[in-house]
Order: sequence, then C-alpha cells, then structure tokens
Amino acid sequence: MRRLNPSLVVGAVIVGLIVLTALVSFVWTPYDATLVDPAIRLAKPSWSHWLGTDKFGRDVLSQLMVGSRTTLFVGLVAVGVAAVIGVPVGILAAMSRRWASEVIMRSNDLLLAFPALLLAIMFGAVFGASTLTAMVAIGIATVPSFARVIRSGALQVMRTEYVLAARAAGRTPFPIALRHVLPNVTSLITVQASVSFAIAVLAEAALSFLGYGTPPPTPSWGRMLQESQEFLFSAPRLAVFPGVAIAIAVLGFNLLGDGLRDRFDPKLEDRR
Amino acid sequence: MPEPVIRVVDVTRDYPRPRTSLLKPAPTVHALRGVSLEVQAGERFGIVGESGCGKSTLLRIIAALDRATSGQVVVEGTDITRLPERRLKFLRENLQLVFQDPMSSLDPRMRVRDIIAEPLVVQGHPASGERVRELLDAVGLSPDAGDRYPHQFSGGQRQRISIARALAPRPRILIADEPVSALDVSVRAQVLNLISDLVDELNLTLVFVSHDLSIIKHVCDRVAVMNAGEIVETGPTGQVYATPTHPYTRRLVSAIPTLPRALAGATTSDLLRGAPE
Repeated sequence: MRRLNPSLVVGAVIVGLIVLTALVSFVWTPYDATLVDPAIRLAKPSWSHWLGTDKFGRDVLSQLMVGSRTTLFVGLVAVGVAAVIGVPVGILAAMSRRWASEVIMRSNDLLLAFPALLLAIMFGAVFGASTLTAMVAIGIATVPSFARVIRSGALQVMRTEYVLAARAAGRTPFPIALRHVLPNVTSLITVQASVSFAIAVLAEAALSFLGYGTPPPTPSWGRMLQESQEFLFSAPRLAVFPGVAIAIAVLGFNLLGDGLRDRFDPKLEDRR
Repeated sequence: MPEPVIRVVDVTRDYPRPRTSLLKPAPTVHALRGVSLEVQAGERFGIVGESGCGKSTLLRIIAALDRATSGQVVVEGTDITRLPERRLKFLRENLQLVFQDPMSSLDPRMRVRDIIAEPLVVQGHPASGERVRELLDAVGLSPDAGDRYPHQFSGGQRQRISIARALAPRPRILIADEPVSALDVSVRAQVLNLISDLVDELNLTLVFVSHDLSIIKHVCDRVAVMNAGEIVETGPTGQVYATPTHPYTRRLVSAIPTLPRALAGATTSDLLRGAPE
C-alpha cells in the first residue's frame, strides 16, 4: 500500500468541498442568489447574512455557492474540449512519421504562443459574450499543452517492447493507439486535466471580470469581483470573498494535479 | 540443401542522426554493414556479440518491425524486404518474438490473460480461455495467473508470460532477443531450459541472440558472431567455442569467466585483455 501524499489529500479535500458546495446549491442556498432587496444594500456580515450582501442587496454566500456551479461547469467543459482534441492530436503526433509529427507539433506551438485570454476575448467579440464561448475558447487555448504532454508520454509508450510485441502479433497502428498507448497515458491525462482545470477557473474569472464571460444575472466569482470594484474602499469584503474562493479553488486543483502526478509518476507506476 | 527458413542477404541498415550543422548533411550510423546468414528449418541459431553491435536491429529486420536500407530478407520463401504490412500476415502468424526486458515487454495495464491472447485476437483465432490456460501450463505458470497484472510477477515469471504470448499463435519460428540477460542468474537456467524444451517439443526454428557465448553454447547448434554491424564468423557452436578463428571471437571466448581461472586469481581486466590460458 503506497502512502498518500499530503498535496493529493489536501487537493482532493478542497476540490471535494467545492463540488459538494455546487451540488448543495442546487437544492438549498440561504437565500435566492439573484433576489434583489434594496432595503439591505451592502449589509455587513451578520447572523442572517453570513457574508453580507452586495450593492443590490443580494446574499453574498448564496451567490458564492451558486457561482461555484459556473466555475466547475466552465472548468469541466474547457478541460473536456481540450482533452478531446489534445489527446488524439498528441498520440497522432507521437505515432506518425517524423515530418508529419513536426508539422503537427509546430502548428501546436503556434497555438501555444497565442494568449488564451486574447483568444477568449476574440471569441467573445465574434460569437457574443457567454459562458459557452468563454469555455470553448479557454478549452481551445488549452489544447496545445495537452497535446504536448500526451505526445511525450505516447512517445515513451511507443518505444516499449510491448508495443513491438503487439506489432509482431500483427496489430495495426489504430488498435495499438487505442489498446496500448491510450491506457498507458491516462495518468498523464488526469494530471494535465486537473492542472488545466485550475487555469480554466482563473481564466473564467478573468473573463467575467472583463465582461466577456458569464453574463448577468447568473452568479460568477469573476463578475462578483468586477462588481465589487467600486466599493473596494468602502466594502472591501465584497472583493475578498470571491477572491479567496477563486484562490482556494485554483490552489485545490493545482494541489490535486501535483498529488496525482507524484502518485502516477510513470517511472514509479511502470517500473515497480 | 533445402531452402533455408530465413535467408538474409547482404543487409545494411543506416540510421540518420540528428543534424549537427546547418551546412553539413546529417551524420548516419551504420548499424548493419552487409550481413548475410541462413537459418535452416528446425535449427537453433545463435547470434552473439557485444551490446550495440547490431544484433537487435538485425532481429527487428528479420521480424519486419524495421526495414533494411539495402539487401534482402527471405522468410519461408517469401521476400519480405519491401512487403507492405498488410501482406505480412503469414509472417505475423509464423514468427514470434521474446524480448529482453521483462519489465517493458508486457503492457502494465493489461491482464496476463489478455496479454497472452492478444496475438490470437489480432489474428482472428477464437481466443478461448482454454488455450490461454494451456499456454500458462506449458510455461509452468498456474492457471489463475491469467487474472493478474504483470507487475505482480517476478522477472522470470514475466519472461514465461512473454514466451506464452509468443507461442499463442502456434508460430514455426521463435526469435529470442537476449531473453535471459535481465534475469537473476538463479532463474536464467530455468528460463533457458523452458525455451529449449518448448523448441524441441513444438519443433520450432529458434533464433537466439545473446551477448554471452556460454548461454549460446547451452542452447544453440550454430552461431554467428557479430561485431560492429558485421558477421565475423559463423559455424557450429562447439567449433566456434573451441577453435575460434576470428580475433574478435577469440577475445569473446577468452572473456568467458571460468572457475579455475577465477581461482587462479584472474581479474576482469585480465579477461578483457584476453589473458593466456
């Protein structure tokens, strides 16, 4: 039995809590997250409103809870898009001839050099600002890092003798990719997914902050930050709560990614 | 003389190295420089040479896992040198390999029974559990070994699994690439005897590669000595061992440690210098 490493445990706990919060928010929040109540604008934290209310009198805790749904949803779709495109591209690059592999990887580098946020803003400008365009744009911008990591893992697998044995048995490239390469890079995919998830969460917050992400009234941590701007001096807590939420979420997914990487290290895993 | 099972004629293999300069052409490595050999049906043919001399490259070319730069490879009367993969079905069914590294030769994510059944599945045979159990039994593993994963086995057991996989499609030619080099000395003899017995029992042609002449002597009838991509001497194993003619073979033979010599106080460097008997 291998020992669990602390970053894996802490990361998993944080991510678990966020997921739990999001699930709970479907059935229960202290108040309706979008309920406007001018009578209690900018209320301080109290027993009835634990984290206070914002400029429209909406309950901050409820907004944070519902906002975690947006965060997770954005991360899931963005990472999903990145993995669905990036993994096959990486495996293809690893298995194709040298010149084809060069073409794939150089175009990959080209996309890698393109800033994710800029791409997302362009998407927003062209297709209209929405959670979906933000997610797809972040996903596409994450494809190159996926492809790069998966390619290097797949190259290692292609050099093993079990792939040679499969070829000697008459397996053709596509089944080899499916039966041998893909199962042996799943650990890399998991690690890359959790790290990309953190990046996606941050990117969504940044986009919402800039007004290119989730449009109102759907609560989003990034937009909560943006709306708190004008009260930075009078009510800094409005910026602190979503800011801390974003920081903890990013930390959680990064820790989880690091922990998984240690646990799945191909050298430890395959050379046991 | 009957048509040999494997005929290799003047095969060369060059590997391009990464360019070191924009102006000069990429340097090449000559892994094989005109290798010719013939293996007769039912023969146990050994190839011996130090690591990096091109033994594995030669095997891969014979198994059509790599392509020769020039020359010709004929297996069971068919020239496979330029044959496309889809026409190599007969080779995939009749020629199987056992590899050197028991850690990397089995997919860590597959159960042993799926590993052994892989050639059967690929070649469209009914992959019955019966056949897998039969193979496990033939290589001396218990029937429940099929449910486990490769990392749950020792190096020697893993080589047995490799052998079972190689025998699954009932090949006529078995190619073994240093099958015992990575094993403890204590299990080497067991695995060697297993290969030896199975080759007899199933009437296989064996091509056995090793860097260790004493292992080749134990298993093979005939041996080819390779050095720097060339075959320098071929002959019956006993003869090559007893009266080596090429200087490289002589050095190889004199490098075999023996108990009397060790007791006489010979050191490794003496052996390498080809110390007098």
